[in-house]
Amino acid sequence: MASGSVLFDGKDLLSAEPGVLQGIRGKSISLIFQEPSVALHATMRVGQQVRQVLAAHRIGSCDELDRRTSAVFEILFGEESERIARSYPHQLSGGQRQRILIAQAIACRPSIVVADEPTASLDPTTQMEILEVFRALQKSMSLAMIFITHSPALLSGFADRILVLYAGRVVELGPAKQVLISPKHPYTQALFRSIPALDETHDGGKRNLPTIARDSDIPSLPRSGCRFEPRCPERMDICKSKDPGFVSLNASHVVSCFRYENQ
Amino acid sequence: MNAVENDKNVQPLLEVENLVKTYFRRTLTGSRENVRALDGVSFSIFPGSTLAIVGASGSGKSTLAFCLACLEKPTSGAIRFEEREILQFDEKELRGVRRKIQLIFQDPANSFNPRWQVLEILTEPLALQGNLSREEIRLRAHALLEQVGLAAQMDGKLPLELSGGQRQRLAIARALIIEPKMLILDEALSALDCSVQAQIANLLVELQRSRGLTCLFITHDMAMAAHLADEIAVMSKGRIVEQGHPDKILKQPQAGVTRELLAAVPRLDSAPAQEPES
Repeated sequence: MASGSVLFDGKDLLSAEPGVLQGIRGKSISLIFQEPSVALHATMRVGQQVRQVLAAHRIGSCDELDRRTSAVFEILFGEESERIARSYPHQLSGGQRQRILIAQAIACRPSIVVADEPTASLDPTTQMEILEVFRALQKSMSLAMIFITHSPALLSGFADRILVLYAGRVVELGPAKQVLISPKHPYTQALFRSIPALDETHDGGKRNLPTIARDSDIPSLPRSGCRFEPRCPERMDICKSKDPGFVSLNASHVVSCFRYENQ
Repeated sequence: MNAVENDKNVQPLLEVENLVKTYFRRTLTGSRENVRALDGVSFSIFPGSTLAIVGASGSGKSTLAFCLACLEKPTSGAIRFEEREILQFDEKELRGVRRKIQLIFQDPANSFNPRWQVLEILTEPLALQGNLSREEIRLRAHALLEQVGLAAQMDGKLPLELSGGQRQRLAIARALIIEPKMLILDEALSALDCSVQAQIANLLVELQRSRGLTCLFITHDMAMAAHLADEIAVMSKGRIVEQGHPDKILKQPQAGVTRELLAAVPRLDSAPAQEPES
């Protein structure tokens, strides 16, 4: 990391010893990846794969490990848990494999789970099912979650707060409902406009979806000023020369844009 | 909406009749088990129109794509392309059909040779045909790159150096370079973020207008299907359970599967299940 700090429970993770980090990774902070078929070992029973996470963190004796493993499977699969634990990844559906990754992530009862596009490869019905699993786990384990996604609509009714990143910078951060229903940053607004609506009518021939201007023809990011300036429909002179700071719209909603500076 | 469909003189470009594809699977005890991936699928697509196939995972959408692209042989049924029965074709004739039906996948990165430059990737199908000079091939490739919204100067890049959206544009360009009649897009937009999805969707609409392409758009995104397609077919367990104009499918869904799919579509403005505390 070039600079900055990551504080977890008051301790800076970036200056922490590798040994200390080893104890945090997967135990206090765990990660769920997008593609479960790649993240899982193809020739090892999934029960064993979850058990190894516990074993790596020296959770307890062999009996204890077995007990904790089946407890986690119980949470995620209910009655089917024993059969699933004995299966290999290829015998499971996409949704079930995603649940195995979740099982690995929550096995050590972490305080934060980072989920990177956990539902991107799933169909909508299964997507909903996995979101429901997350919601239930959050309630029962008081889990904090960072849910990384490129489909903002998934977040409605699920996230508490939404942070919008553009080109490596935070452009907007606020309560989910506010950000989704009345986004403030021009990038967030343009992004949401490009999603086709289910209730549009389809009689008038094929329309173009609104896109964000000029994507591939920008050679590199601007060196100074707002990163979104070259594509922004509402750019002003100042955007080119100066970095926008954060403007607080209310106690919890901030946006990085000059348009809101003098309001 | 689609004028060609009303015209009785126009024949469908592709007609599928009672298509069945069975796979064999070995169970744990070693006995063979039948899996009916396609269980009597029938539909037709008219030239220049788009049919969207939606359905949950495992409903047979991709098997259908493979059968239509002549990459899998159906167990029974009929596929008529340009009014000719293609299932009776020999390998040589099939090669001609494959040329006219191009397939685009969800993650194009897997379908590119990672060590080839954009130009090589793009021109391989043309070079294989071998009836154009190198210079002609290069010119055609450059024109096509521009048309799909990539700069001609990009022809020396490697797939890894392209963004997801650019890779998908390249995949579309490669599919178009041998001037197919029909494109099959199997979840071709699913891996892209929504602003890039919109760009590629617009590109498809524009290409369809300028080239009269016929598209089969396979997806589990109901909103995008409704946006792009003239007609939507909903698949479940290897069968088409409902088919019709996007408005009809969205507003008066008949089949339970369709209603389930629609209910699961996330919306920006759906009310939060619970108000966040604080």
